[in-house]
Amino acid sequence: MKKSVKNVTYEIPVRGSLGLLAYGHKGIIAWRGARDKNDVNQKKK
Amino acid sequence: MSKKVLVIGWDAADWQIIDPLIAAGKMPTLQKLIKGGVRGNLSTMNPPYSPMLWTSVATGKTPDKHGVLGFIEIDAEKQQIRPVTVRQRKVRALWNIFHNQGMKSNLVGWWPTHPAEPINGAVVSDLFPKAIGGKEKEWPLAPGSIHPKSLEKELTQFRIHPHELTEAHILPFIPKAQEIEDDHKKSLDIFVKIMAHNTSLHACSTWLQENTEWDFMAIYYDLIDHFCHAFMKFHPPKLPAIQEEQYEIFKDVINSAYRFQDMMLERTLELIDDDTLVIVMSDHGYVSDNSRLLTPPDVHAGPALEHREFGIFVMNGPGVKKGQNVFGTSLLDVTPTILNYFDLPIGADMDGRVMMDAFEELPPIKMIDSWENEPGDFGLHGQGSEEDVLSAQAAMEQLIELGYVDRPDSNVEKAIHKTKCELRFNLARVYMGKQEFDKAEEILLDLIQEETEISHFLVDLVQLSLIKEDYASARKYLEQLRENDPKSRTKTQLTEAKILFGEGKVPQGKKILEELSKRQSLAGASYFELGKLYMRLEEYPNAKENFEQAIEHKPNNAKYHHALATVYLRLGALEDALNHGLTSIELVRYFPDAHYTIGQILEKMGDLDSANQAYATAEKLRPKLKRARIAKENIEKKKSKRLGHDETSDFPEITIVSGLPRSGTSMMMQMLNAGGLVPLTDGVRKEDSDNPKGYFEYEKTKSLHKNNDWVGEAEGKVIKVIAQLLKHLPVDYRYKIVFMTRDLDEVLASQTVMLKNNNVQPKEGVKKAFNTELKKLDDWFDREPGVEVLKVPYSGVIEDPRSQAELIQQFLGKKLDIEQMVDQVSSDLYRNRILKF
Repeated sequence: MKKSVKNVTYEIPVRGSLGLLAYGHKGIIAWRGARDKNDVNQKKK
Repeated sequence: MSKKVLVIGWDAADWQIIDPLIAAGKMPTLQKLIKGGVRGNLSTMNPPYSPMLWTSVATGKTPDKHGVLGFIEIDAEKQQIRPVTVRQRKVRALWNIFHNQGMKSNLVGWWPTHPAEPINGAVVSDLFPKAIGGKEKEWPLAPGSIHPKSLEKELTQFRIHPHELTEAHILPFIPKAQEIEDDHKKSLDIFVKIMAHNTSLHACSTWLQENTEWDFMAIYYDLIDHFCHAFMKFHPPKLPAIQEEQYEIFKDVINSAYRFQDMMLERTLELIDDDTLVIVMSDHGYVSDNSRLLTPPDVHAGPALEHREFGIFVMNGPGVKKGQNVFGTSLLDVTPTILNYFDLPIGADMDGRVMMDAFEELPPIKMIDSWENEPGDFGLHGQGSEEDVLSAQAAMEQLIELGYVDRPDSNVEKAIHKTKCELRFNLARVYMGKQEFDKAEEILLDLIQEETEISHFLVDLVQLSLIKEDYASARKYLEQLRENDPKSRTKTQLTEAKILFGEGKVPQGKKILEELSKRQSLAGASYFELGKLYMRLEEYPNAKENFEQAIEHKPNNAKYHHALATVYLRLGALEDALNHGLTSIELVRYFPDAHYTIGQILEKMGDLDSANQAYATAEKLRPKLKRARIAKENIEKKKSKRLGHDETSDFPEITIVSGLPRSGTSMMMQMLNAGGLVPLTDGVRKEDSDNPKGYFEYEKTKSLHKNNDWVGEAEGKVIKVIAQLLKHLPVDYRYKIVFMTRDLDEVLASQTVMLKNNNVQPKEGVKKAFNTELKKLDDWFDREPGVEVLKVPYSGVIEDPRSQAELIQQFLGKKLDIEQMVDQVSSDLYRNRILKF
């Protein structure tokens, strides 16, 4: 898996998560990767 | 480089929200797209239900033709109700045509496309993102969600389960999400579901953009529509009924939804070639002003009542004009425009047209009768090869949550019956929208026999009766409605006023309207009805004043602008008339009467080519609008400067002799008969001392206002019709009217003699009434395209019958026996001339 998507690294700021969803499939991959690796975002439930 | 078209559907997107956001620099991607292309209102259709509308977008046809009539359908095999599927569509969509032409299409989320059709390209159906159950591991893909199957594994990984979303996705929309109390937590569930669905589809679309070849791609998002249904009531300005705390928590959701949609658009546009034609559009708008509803009314598909009649339309790409507005665009125009862009023919059975105004240049328009008749493979589902369509429980639940459908009755038989009735009701409303009133009425009358909950059918039957000017039926259905639903009495006051006018009870009707006009929500409609009343009374200045008031209350109402255009036309203020006429079609393109009125205005202005175009549009939009076809013929005639009888007319010709009673109409009938024309007469009324040579009348003309079906009997003949009944002649013919004029004092003197002969006292005020009548008739002559009039003075015929006979011969364009005509005129007929009294 690529380590960055259009200069957005896995170290995703919280608010950047929305931007990654808007970025499409690569954003989702990046966001999930970051979430799983760094546990950046807490699950809602 | 080959052409490509990308259509992006934003359900319910509305300029009223977008424009302020663009002005604030908060939708930069759409702003850029608009700057380099065209934008406009996109008029929707009735009823504004999204699956019907998006299918019209993809087929260029109205719902009665394409067959998608609502949110749900009946699965006959499994005897259950399910969300509408692609199988309901009876006609070929754009992507089927492209498949036939060897082109590739990608479809993502289009409503309805489930189960995915086997076309060249890829389909991600509308059921793809719907999550069943609450846990991620129990989330099977609905069979038929993806075509081709080989893409299933790749694309399924991009589905986001609502529970996967986190605060990070919620807070930008709802910064105070933590403050939401338990009884509003459902709002958050709805929020994450909508976000998950839309971002799942968006991810599929970016993957397909990057990894497949395509000629046509369509992506559909319901994000804005669904957020509006859930959160529009919290949008600024705050509605009085909304609690301050709730307003503070949810007030940013709608604006944020649009901004997020713009963010997704940015990524989509990064992935296209420069030569791609891009369309961003919505199927309808969404009410965002003070008339917003706190809770949708408890009626059939109540939430759709929050839909505004104008969606958005933006187009940018090769050949598209830059930085311009387009007017009068309808969602039916999308398919013809795209077909033409690809140099493919348009089906004559399509209801839309090519958006010529949006392009610098276009390929010439090619037509075929119908794509339905073309042979070959269109990538459609085969007969009997139905995939195992999932019960689509999740999709159904969402429709119920949004209020689009009621939870089906647990009694399956009852639920199926109710669904059938709903779909038929929707079809009736489609017919009403198309002004095919008889078809609508037939369905509604059946429904009130078959259903127990009949109020909504009765509401439409009242409206239909009013349109048909059948006030007795309107009264009957209104009473039935009020009996059935006593609460409806207060809501039907406007209707009551319309019926009262129809019944001739003008003061009572006016009183109701004047009262209603004080209520903000009904002011526009009340002033409009008052204006219509004054139009009927031909009191044009009063009509103008009321229509202007109506527009002040509802500036975007196309009907009000059209009404005002008509008044200005009558008043001869052509510039003002054109201004309001154009505004009306800018607001609603599917408005045949407005196009016709614009044609009349332009014709009067002398711009025959533009007038011809306006009439042609009116006729195209409503082929039954025969006046438009006649008006077009007239223009051709004017342009070729042909005189006399038009051999090329599609409409049979009838010669009419008319005038006020005792103005010499019987004498003119004798003359024309002697000249060689065949009179349509039954000889029921015998000659007498008042008319010693006979009346030449036909009994049926006396009830022309009640029944005009028989008028064809007069084809190629001459018939006498008194002046007052002329306006009841059907539009199916061309009429050449020889209209007798006579000094009104002479007419009255002659009538007085005749009345005295019959022992009847003449009435007071008749002269004034006749004057008004004649003035109204002049207006009618002026605006009826199928009517040509020659005014023949009675005294002229008596004094110089030859000259008049020759003028009549020239007017009728037929060889007449002038000598015989002259012989008919006896000077003793002039016995009642005023000078002798």
